[in-house]
Amino acid sequence: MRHVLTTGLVRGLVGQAVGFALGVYTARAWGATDWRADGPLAWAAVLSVLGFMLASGMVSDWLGWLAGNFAPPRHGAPPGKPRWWRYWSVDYDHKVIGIQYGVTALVLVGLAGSVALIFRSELSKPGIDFLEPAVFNTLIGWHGIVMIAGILTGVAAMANYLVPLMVGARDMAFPRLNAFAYWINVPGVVLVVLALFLRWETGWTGYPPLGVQTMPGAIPFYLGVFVIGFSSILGAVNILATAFGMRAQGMTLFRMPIFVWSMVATSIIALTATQLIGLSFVLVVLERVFGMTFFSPTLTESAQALGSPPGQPLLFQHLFWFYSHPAVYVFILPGLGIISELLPVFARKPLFGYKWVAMASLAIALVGFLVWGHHMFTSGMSDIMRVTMMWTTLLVAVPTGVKFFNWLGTMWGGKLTFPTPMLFVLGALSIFLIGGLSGPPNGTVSTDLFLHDTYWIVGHFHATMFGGFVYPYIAAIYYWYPKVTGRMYNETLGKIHFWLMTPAFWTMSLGQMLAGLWGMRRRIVDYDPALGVAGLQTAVTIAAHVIFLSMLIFAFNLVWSAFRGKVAAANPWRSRSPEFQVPSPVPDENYPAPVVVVSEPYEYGGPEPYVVFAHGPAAADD
Amino acid sequence: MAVLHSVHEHDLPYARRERVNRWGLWLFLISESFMFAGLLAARFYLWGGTRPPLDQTLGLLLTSILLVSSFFMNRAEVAIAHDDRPEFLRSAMLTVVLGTAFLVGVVGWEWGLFLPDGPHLRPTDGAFGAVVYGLTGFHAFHVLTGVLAILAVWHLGRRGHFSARQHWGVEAVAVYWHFVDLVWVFFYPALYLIGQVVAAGH
Amino acid sequence: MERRTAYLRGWVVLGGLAALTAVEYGIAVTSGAVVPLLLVGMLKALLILEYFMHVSRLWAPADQGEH
Ligand code: HEM
Ligand SMILES: [Cu+2]
Repeated sequence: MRHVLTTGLVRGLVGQAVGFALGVYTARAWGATDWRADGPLAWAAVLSVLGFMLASGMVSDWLGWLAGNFAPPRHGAPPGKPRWWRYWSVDYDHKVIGIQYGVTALVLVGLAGSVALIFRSELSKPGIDFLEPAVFNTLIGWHGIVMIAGILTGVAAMANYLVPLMVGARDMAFPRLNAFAYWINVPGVVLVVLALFLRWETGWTGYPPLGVQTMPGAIPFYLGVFVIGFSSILGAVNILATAFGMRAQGMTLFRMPIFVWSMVATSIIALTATQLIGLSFVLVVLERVFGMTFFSPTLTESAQALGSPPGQPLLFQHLFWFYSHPAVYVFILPGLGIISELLPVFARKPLFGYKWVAMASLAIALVGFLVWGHHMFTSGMSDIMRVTMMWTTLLVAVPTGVKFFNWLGTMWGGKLTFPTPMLFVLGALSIFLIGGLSGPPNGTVSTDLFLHDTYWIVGHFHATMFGGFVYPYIAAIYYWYPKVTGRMYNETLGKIHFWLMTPAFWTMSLGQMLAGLWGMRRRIVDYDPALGVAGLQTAVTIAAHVIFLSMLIFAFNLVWSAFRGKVAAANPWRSRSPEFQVPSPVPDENYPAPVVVVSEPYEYGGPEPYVVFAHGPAAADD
Repeated sequence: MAVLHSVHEHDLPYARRERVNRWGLWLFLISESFMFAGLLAARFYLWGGTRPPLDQTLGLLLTSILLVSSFFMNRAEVAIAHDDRPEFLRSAMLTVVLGTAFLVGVVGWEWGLFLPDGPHLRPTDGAFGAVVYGLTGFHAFHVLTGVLAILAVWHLGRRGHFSARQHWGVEAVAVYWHFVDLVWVFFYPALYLIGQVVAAGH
Repeated sequence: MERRTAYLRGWVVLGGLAALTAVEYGIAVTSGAVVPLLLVGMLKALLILEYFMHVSRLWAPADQGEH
């Protein structure tokens, strides 16, 4: 119990509560009457994040610098604490941080998924049964944004655990910054949870003017997302610096494992575009708190006297989608990297067209910056923008197609085996195909005028996110589970998970698309029975519950196997990747001696290993 | 780019550490420049070819203060790179003073917090007010963090830290400070110079 | 670089920046044209990037001069 209270998490949360209380108290002292008014709430939220930072210990080392204490970051388990303690506290080891991110991601996805079941049940038949519209609207927004937070932390989990190992480094380039980037998520998520209770009705996109007018929950929503975005940015700095500055001897850029390439492309987006969603959200908060009308088209009398132009709602959409379209590539590029990483292992063949796959990631990332307007086809944006954005959008299909053909080429003629990770990779391909094919109709102005804001869109992006992130993430967890825990997961449970989830997902996604085609609008609590979508809605609801059930099986498998699973070998998949050439779980110092790259990463069947350790050849036990 | 050797010690050799640090800092600045570019985009989107009647003397004064502060920050870095500690401390402190003067100028005059009859442009004054306060506010926040960072290295320098061989901390703070100046190089014309004044003000 | 020259360079860059700012202000009060103003801004930015922020250190070989 004593140890629980000293964990960074508990201390941080207490600090956050204190910070919040302090904010409310000072606001009262300055004459505020209701702490839920925009000003006091924003002030308390900011102080609460600072409180978390100070109390959790995530900035202690930096504060120590001011006192002239420049010791290198602490490595290894802290003395005098039980083994579990470091996982709940500020720790600088990239593997610990990777696990922290990974578990956080699963928790967030679980929470957001449970909320989805609630409003999904409401939608299963026409009429308003048990959710007030305001609550329904809050829940869909919360589901969306928490899923996004879950995806971002899941991506960071893979990046943190794998990138340093794959480039043969001891740790990330900036271990302290890495810990900071993880922990700053926690107060951010707490704020988003607060938003759930205070309610806001805009959905995850937070469009003003509604965003300015809706309930107080908007404030913690915008600020919480801002903080989570800040974490993405810092994480991206770290990953790029690690990929470029910490590579092992002999690892030229085109000898990097392909997952590292995909993380480089991802990080370029996260580094730059994230600033724009952060900015757009802060501007709405400023509009709410100080009446700075960036987005509301109304003018005060004195503004009129000055001849000031009005604010413009569309400005928000431009800023917001300049991030949020590229963001979808932040969600999927790491997943596509996982697919490219795992296929050669389970096909026992080199990755087909390595350079093309690497360059396709970069191309997707860069073209992805030029397509944001496809979310605004119906917004009244100019025709020139609409047509330009239509063409750039359709252009993204090219590098995506390149990747698909490279995957097929990798599998072609390979000796395929189908353990659970491989099943999820193949599942990812099938689902991503549905998602990808449903994209071009949205990207074409003439068809999107009909599809926009219908359930077709909901089906589209669930398929892309499941195919591009959820399935690869699950595959990655199964695949590296022995490396992380030193034990094998249960294969039977893994297969059950897959065979429950996949048909359910197809039903859900195709059902959503069909409902959309029949006229079902998105983000609405009730619908006209005459649309004839009630049967589809029921099917989608049942499918969603099955998906949730399969995820519970997954969670059980992960927890149970960590204690009871078979002890894992160092290299259960006969992989060439460096992390599989050391014992499971990966030792604290990663590698026994400097890693030296001596051949290509994916030469399965080739004579030479990919890496050796400087004091003798790699000891692959298999 | 040279492929760097994998290192197993907990900390990298100073030269390599510094190099990786430098990349990290610049990556962060690239990130920040997207945010500032977004603010500039907002200014052009909302104002187009117009601008509010801002005090030109104040604009020019603020710009000059910031440029001179950059000069002294550079001087501080050069000084420590040549082990000239007294000059380093003096120049760093001058930078802090100038940075603070800039902040007082923005908050006290442009925002009118210290003016007896308040500002002639308020944050609520349509897109003019929103953009002026938004851009100067985001920038001033960075100036503030820069001043605090310079104070931190000044404090460490006084206690004998940093040398000609090892002064990444000073370099980092200096680069950050110049970046904040760089942002103002674009904000100044965007707010004060570009476009036609639409109303006479008073 | 020698200390004296390094200090001197600071003065020269400051002079350049001051001159460009004067030009900028001059353009603004006479024509207010956007393109020249942005060009002057770019020039100022280049001076700052190279001489104050040492951007070229990013791609300089690791063991050259600076430590
Ligand atoms: C690759 C993975 C993809 C992901 C993760 C993804 C994600 C999303 C998301 C989240 C939305 C809805 C945003 C909202 O309105 O709330 C969306 C809409 C859209 N997607 Fe995708 N998408 C992907 C691929 C594609 C592709 C390949 C295309 C076109 C070639 C495409 C075109 C569109 C368009 C045009 C919309 C806007 C539709 C509308 O709102 O009317 N997407 N996508
Ligand atoms: Cu998009």
